[in-house]
Amino acid sequence: MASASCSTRRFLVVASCLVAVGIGAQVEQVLAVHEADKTFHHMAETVFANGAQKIADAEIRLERRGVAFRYVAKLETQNVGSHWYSRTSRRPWVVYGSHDGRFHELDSRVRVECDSPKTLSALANSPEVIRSKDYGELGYAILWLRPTANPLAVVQELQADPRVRKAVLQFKRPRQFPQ
Amino acid sequence: MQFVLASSTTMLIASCGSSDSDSSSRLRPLTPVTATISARATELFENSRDGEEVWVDITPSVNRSVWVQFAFEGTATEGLDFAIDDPLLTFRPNQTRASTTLRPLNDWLPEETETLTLSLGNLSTATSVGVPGSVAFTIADDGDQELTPAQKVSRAELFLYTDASFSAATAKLEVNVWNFGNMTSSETFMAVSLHRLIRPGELGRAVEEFQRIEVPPLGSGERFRTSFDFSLAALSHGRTYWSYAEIDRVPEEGDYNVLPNREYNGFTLDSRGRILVGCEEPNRPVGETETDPLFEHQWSLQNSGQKAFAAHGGTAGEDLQMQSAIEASQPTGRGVNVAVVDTGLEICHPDLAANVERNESYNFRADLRRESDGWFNAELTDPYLPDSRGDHGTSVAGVIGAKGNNGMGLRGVAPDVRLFGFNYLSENCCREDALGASNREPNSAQIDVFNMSFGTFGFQYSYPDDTVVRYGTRQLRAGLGAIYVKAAGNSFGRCVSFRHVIHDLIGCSSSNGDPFNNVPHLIVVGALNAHGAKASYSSVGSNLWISAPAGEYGVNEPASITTDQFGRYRGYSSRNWPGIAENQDADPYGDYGSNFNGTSAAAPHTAGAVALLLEEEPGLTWRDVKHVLASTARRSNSSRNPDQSQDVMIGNRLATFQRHWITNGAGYMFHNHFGFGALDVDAALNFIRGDFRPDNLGEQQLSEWISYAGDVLNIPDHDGGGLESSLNVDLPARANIEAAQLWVNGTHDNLSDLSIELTSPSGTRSILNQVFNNAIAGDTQLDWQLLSNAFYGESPRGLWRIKIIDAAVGDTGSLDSWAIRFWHGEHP
Repeated sequence: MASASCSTRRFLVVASCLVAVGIGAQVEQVLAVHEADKTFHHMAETVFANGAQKIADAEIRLERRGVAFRYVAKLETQNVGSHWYSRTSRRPWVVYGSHDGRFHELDSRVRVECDSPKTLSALANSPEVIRSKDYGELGYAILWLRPTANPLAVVQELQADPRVRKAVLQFKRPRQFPQ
Repeated sequence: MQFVLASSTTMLIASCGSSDSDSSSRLRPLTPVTATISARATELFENSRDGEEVWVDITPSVNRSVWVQFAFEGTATEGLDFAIDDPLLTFRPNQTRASTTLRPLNDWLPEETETLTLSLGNLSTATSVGVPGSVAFTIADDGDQELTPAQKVSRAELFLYTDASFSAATAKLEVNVWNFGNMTSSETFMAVSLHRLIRPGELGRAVEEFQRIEVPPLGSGERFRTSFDFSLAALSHGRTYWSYAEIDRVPEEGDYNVLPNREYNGFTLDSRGRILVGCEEPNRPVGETETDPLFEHQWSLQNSGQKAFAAHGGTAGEDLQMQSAIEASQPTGRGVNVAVVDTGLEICHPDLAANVERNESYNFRADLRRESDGWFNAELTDPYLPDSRGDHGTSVAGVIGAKGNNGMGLRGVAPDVRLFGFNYLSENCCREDALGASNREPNSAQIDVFNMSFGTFGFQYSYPDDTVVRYGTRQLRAGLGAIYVKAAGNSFGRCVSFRHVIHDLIGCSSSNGDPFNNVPHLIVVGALNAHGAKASYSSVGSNLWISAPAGEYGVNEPASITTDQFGRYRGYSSRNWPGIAENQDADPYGDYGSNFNGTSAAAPHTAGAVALLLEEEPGLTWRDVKHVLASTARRSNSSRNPDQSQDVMIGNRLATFQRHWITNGAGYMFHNHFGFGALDVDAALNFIRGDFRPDNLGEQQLSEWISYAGDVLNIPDHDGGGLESSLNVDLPARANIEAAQLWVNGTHDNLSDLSIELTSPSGTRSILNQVFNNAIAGDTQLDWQLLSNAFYGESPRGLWRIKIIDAAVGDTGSLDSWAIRFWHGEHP
């Protein structure tokens, strides 16, 4: 019980942050997740408020064109953009990788390795999690997040949880087409 | 004056007339003839693929054979700058004119215009050279073919893809526009509208139309995503609707190309106005006999040269070679579980339903716990595809296991197999669930054979993710391992970033552009047409294992005939494509299609064949299956297949950019176009019925990466000699390679300039990356794991050599490191 409540509390913290993001408030908190030698950064809401955000050696800003927008990283030698998204659709979770100077789109799932099934069960009961599935033979479980949950924020929380051995971001896979 | 002595036989002939035959001219002088030479055009270009016809005339007509041999002078060199089809022309008696073709070759070198004087050299007796006795040609360098990076860049290439999700009141159309080219596109506009399908292939006026929206300029690899909501309230019940998105085509001279520029997504409303998201069984009469009426058209199972609803037939005998299995009705795949990992599966299709495991299939879009992007009201165990324009998975399933001898339609390769549908492609997630690492929702762990007729477009810089298939081959089928069959891809002619004449021979984009194809646990399948030749679109590469029938497009030449979404207002037949859709006698209800092709069709032919093998010998391991297929594949004799290696002069040295069939050190034949060759079902069955013992290939082991530890190596620019490096492998000599992986790391201004070849200690050469591979055009960082199956069965022990050739002028780079590792066993 103690583990489960602890886990729930952590996710609630993330949720409150995200609600704020969802209504357009300016959240200055800069989230980052470290995986081995890679670092992924969340774009703060100031980017959307006609501002910019400095991450590592890049200045991140928003570029708008008609109904479309994208993130652009101004680097020393070049500008790098994310994909274009329509403002009429749900905003995707895009992170900036300061290790490779590129943008990456996150999947609404995270991969976790827990110390016990009990921990996984506790994580699955978090309000941010729609469902979980344990692929025990592969050594990990997948948490499906609500579309409003920032996967980067969730992973950051999970990485701080002593019961979680590993929490890994999942990126949108290259689209597979019939062929 | 020359004389010939006739034989006694021809003397008899001579007595019948006064001919001028050599043989009848006993001790008489031959009538002299004069030969002249001509050609229509004398200014040739390196890239003129058809060549120039050269005529030789002789006068007068004589009743004897005459021959002339060509001689060459000038700066052009035979074999490098030009070739001539017939260096020696022979005239039959009384023939006065003959021709051959002079073909300029492209050496890709920036150079001056070459000269070539073609004259008549050696001549048969009593033949002399007339006027004109020679023709002077020039062969101009084709500046467009110089392989400088700037000239390789061509255009942006926009690709449109739509996807739909449903709620109770709306259909949401998500539209994605990708730029797969290597230039930034100019801004353009997109229109989206909804239409009722009046009759197959014909849409009514727009029911709903959105304002045109701007598609922003897209850089190379970039995507634009947006969505549109259609209200269902105003639509007629029981009707089919197509929404479509259309990108403005740029008129000629535009800077981008759009393929396709219009993309549809269809759905059908039921009688209560809800979108059909589940399979509702149709009424279909069963035939009076058990015979499958369309079987006679299934050339892939039994090729008699039938047209299969196309204009022309194929070549008799070029099929799966399963005559014995068909005649014996054994094996039929009974008891074998095959998963169609695809867009969907129509589980109540009249010709599939009897073989489908209804409660074990899975719909990833029906998960009620999802909050959006799902298919409202869909059932978890019904992977029905609401998109009514054709369900790729239903067509794949028919190739594998349409029910046989049921008096309707056709039969699959394995007509009694158990089919499972996992609509992985409709969700693009959940590889673990779809490929065997799940024992609930869905239970994919019970699958014996996974068919994966899918792949990525363009190169993705990621290492092959083999986690799930490594698990599946180790644990499923009670440890014997599941069999994973995957389509190689349809990118042979997909020259997105640049096109060069050599692409006609070696292909535009290689099968190694999809990282998953480089996983050695898969059986990667190429496609053959009804002539037994490599299908025009089939991607090639060293990671292919085998080839199987699939066909061309079903218009001029046959494609595969298979199941389609049933009904005239659904499926590929609703598009009213040429073929069986036009023949209501053959397909009165619109339940079948005759245009299904691609390696998508080759893979299920292979998956069905594997099901036959597993029924015949349930103890086969996944490695056994691969071994049997490699050991029994046959080499097609089609004259349409390439008949030689492709050698090209780069700098001052000759480079080989495509190897012909090789026989490796273990006796296996291999070709990057075909893998080990064409699938031969009867031969494979006979192989396992013979002395073959299952699970006798020794324990499979994976070596460490064995790395080159020297300095960074510069790749010489535009030099056919290339960079060569070697390393020694100290693995047991008795080991047998089952797969060799190469890891290359370095930089280059344009990776697609590079050809990468590996040579084994046995001397087997395998090209792992073909030169001018569109899949990696424009990339500069080389960090790639490649796979070659060409060394199968050889010992890994000894010196391995890598050769990297930079074929273009101007770009440079280096190889920082390279390594190889081996999956190996110990074969009897």
